[in-house]
Amino acid sequence: MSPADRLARGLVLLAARRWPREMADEWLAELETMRRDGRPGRAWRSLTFAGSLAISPAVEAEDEAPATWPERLAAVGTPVALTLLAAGLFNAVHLTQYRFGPLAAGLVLAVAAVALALLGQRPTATRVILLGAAMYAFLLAGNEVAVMPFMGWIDIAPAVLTWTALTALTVRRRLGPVATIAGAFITLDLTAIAGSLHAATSLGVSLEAAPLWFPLALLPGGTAWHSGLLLGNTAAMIGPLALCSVFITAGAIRSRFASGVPLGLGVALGGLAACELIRRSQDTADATLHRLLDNSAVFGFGFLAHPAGLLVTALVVVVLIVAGRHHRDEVATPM
Amino acid sequence: MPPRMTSSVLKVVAALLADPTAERYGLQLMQDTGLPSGTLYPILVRLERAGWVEARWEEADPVAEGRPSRRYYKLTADGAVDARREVAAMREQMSRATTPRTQTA
Repeated sequence: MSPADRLARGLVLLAARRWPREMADEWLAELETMRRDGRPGRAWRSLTFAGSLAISPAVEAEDEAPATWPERLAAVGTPVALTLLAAGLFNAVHLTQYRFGPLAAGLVLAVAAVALALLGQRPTATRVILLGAAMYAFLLAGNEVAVMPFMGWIDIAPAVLTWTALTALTVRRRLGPVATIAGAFITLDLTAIAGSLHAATSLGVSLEAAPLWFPLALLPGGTAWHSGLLLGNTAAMIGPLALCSVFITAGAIRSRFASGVPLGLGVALGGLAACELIRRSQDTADATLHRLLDNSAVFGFGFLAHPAGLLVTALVVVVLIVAGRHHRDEVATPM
Repeated sequence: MPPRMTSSVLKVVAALLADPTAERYGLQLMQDTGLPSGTLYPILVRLERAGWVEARWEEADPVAEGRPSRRYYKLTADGAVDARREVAAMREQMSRATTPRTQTA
């Protein structure tokens, strides 16, 4: 068997994992027929046959309607759009802090959280993985020069991997509302630890307080007794991920209720309470929020300076518009 | 549930309708329709689930034939009727879409 035949066989077996069992036998039989065929171009035909199957989406389950291409494209476009939205809102909080002070920034942060909570959807585990990949690309490739000293791949990769794995697990387990919220906090806490271990080791910061890095990075006064650089670094990395967690957590909880209004109201009241807390601790709020939003410029959107980055972003927007119109048409004209 | 009639599904159905009693295997249908394997096989699975197509393994001796047994596809009797109706409906829609509308005063 030639290397091309082996590769084709491997691709067919890979594709067959996602298909009804009898299809694998059929495809292997067709490959074998092609292998015995002595005509020129045999290897190419085998590889295109197997390659086409390998990249083709699996046929849906028997009781499901086949997915359309706009739906498939939206499945990829939505995580990218959510990443850009969460990062954009996080930057809005940062710019508000810079221009109008911590109270206004706290309000914008609360509004951002409410907006994402209202938009929230329960994603599949696959979409969480796509979201993690988009977030990794954004945090790493979006910054030509790292905005914080410890935001290289060695910091971002463990953080995003931890967040993605635990979030996907939470989504798959279909937990109750309290457990879902607790799961999101634990996920963000472990994400903060995973993303800050390298920084802590380099800065010589003790790991004893590691479980507190996430709350300390968000709550007023944390930097008073802990490494400001470590917490600022943690906050910059965890900010967009935390907003994505709000989107997913709210979506998971809302799927259990008929309306998103109670949740939106709850988040809004929570946001106001957080703002009041910040207002009452004015002396420490400046320092803490500064750490939370510690970037000297809009961060993460450096890729927009390149034509390719602009093109990809425009493509994502177009895909989502097309998918949205397609969805609207489907709803308007049920089959 | 009848399958959604896309242009690719139409190609497969038209190829099968060319001789509704004939049995065809996957590679043959790929040649007839010009569709890649990743497009053809999902359509065949959907047509089979819809009851339009039936599949069977060839009862031949692989040693004597010099190749493995093939899986053959054929339109069912009901499938052929439904397929003709859907193809006719599609053609009517296409001709309506391409015929210029008469202006009313």
